[in-house]
Amino acid sequence: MPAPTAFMAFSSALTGFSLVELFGTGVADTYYDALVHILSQATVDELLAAYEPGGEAGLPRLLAHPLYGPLARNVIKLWYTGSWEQLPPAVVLRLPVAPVDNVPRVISAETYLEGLMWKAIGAHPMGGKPLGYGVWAEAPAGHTH
Amino acid sequence: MLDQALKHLHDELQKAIELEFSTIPPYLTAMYSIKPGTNQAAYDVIRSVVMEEMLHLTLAANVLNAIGGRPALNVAELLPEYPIKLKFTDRQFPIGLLKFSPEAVDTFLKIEMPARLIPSGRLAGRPDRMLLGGFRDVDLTGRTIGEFYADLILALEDACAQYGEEQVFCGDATRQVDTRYYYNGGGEALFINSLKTAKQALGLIVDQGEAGGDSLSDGDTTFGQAYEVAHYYRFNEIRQRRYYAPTDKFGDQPSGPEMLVDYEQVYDMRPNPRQQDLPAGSELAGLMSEFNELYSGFMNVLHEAFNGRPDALLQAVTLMFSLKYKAIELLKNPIPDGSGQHAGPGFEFVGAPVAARMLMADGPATAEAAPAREPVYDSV
Repeated sequence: MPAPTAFMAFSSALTGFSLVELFGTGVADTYYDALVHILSQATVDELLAAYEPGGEAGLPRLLAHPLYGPLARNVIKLWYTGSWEQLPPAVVLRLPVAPVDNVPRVISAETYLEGLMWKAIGAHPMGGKPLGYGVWAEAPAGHTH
Repeated sequence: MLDQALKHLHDELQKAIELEFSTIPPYLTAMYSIKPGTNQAAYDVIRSVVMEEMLHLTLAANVLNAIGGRPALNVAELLPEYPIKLKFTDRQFPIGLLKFSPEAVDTFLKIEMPARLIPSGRLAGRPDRMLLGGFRDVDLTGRTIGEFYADLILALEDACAQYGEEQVFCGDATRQVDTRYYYNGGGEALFINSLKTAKQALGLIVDQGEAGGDSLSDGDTTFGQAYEVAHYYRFNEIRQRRYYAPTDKFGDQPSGPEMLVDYEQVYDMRPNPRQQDLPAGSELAGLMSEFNELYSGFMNVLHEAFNGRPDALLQAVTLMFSLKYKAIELLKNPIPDGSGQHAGPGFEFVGAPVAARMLMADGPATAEAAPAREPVYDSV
């Protein structure tokens, strides 16, 4: 399903990437669907509701929260690596997460290619999005001396 | 007199370059609008055609350089502003930047139409005169791209017969962009230094585009390449959702295996995306601006490559990939106006931007202002 505005705003604040950059990955809906599948709609709604009143200014508090903190960090990892990281046992105890859904994995071939980490370091994902012969001799995109 | 003949040939070949180039952004836009992991067959078909258009552009530029001309690729007036209109004597139609759709495929079929599929046309002898786009005073011959090239070959032959081949093929050999610089791109970039090689190059363009005789094949099976039909027929495969079989002949509809085409699995791009149509100052406008800067930088490097610095083409490859990823980023972005439509690549030339200046910095600046002149295209 289409990622709601609240999820996009939350993701932008967590990752430091603009909405256009996040939409530009083309996998926002994939991530939102994955979160709903793994955590349940109720938990995702709760997480977004916990973020909204404080907004970006309230992020440090949210990240320190025993339940929302680990969830938010997993959302960051999701965007940066395209992968789901296993939630800590203490969190799983409080959530209705099926063990089979909490297995660390790359969400899809596309999310691997679209991980924000590649953009952040000015490189292309290994084995994907090539830039042509000899490009390894060039400085990373956005690199300044 | 020789000067006049050469001038005429230079103008015609420059038009060929503009014509070949003008097809590339529409093909790329349709291709990139396809959602990842879907419509793979259609994506591959469009990609195979666009690679050959890039080869055609290179071959036309090589022929132009071989006869002492100077290809111009970084002049705003000569670059297409979509939608453009392509005019032949007996037909004209707009070419826009469209998402992958039946409408886009129909336009592609019109562009690549072989002469013998035009019912009213003369099939033998010298083709009728036609006007292409904005050249109101300069008439080109031919009702199709293939006929345009057929006439170019005739004009080259005439000039050689009249003034001698060596007088006509007087270009500097170091300006040729051959296989040392052009690789993996729809065929071999031929080194042009004679009438024979020029005819080979222009003949290849026609064969890949239209095919000849009773065959649908593009005739290119060197190095064990698979059977491949010419451009028009490749687009017809998408439209009919079925591949041609090697036994299919002219006039047949495709009878090979089925091709899966799903026009729903496409980013719903607003037609003919332009910078000015995005909210000023928005992040999306910023992304479009980055794309247009990159595109302009790329055109500048391409211009360098065809004007004495063929090795610049190797750098241009990186820019081409960057353009692709930025175009796709735009296509994945909904326009924030509630329409549900998506942004897309504008292919708007904005002059010489930073990227080009950086890439040019390590070599002599050979860019020369090309003479201002009417473009091949009309704006619609």
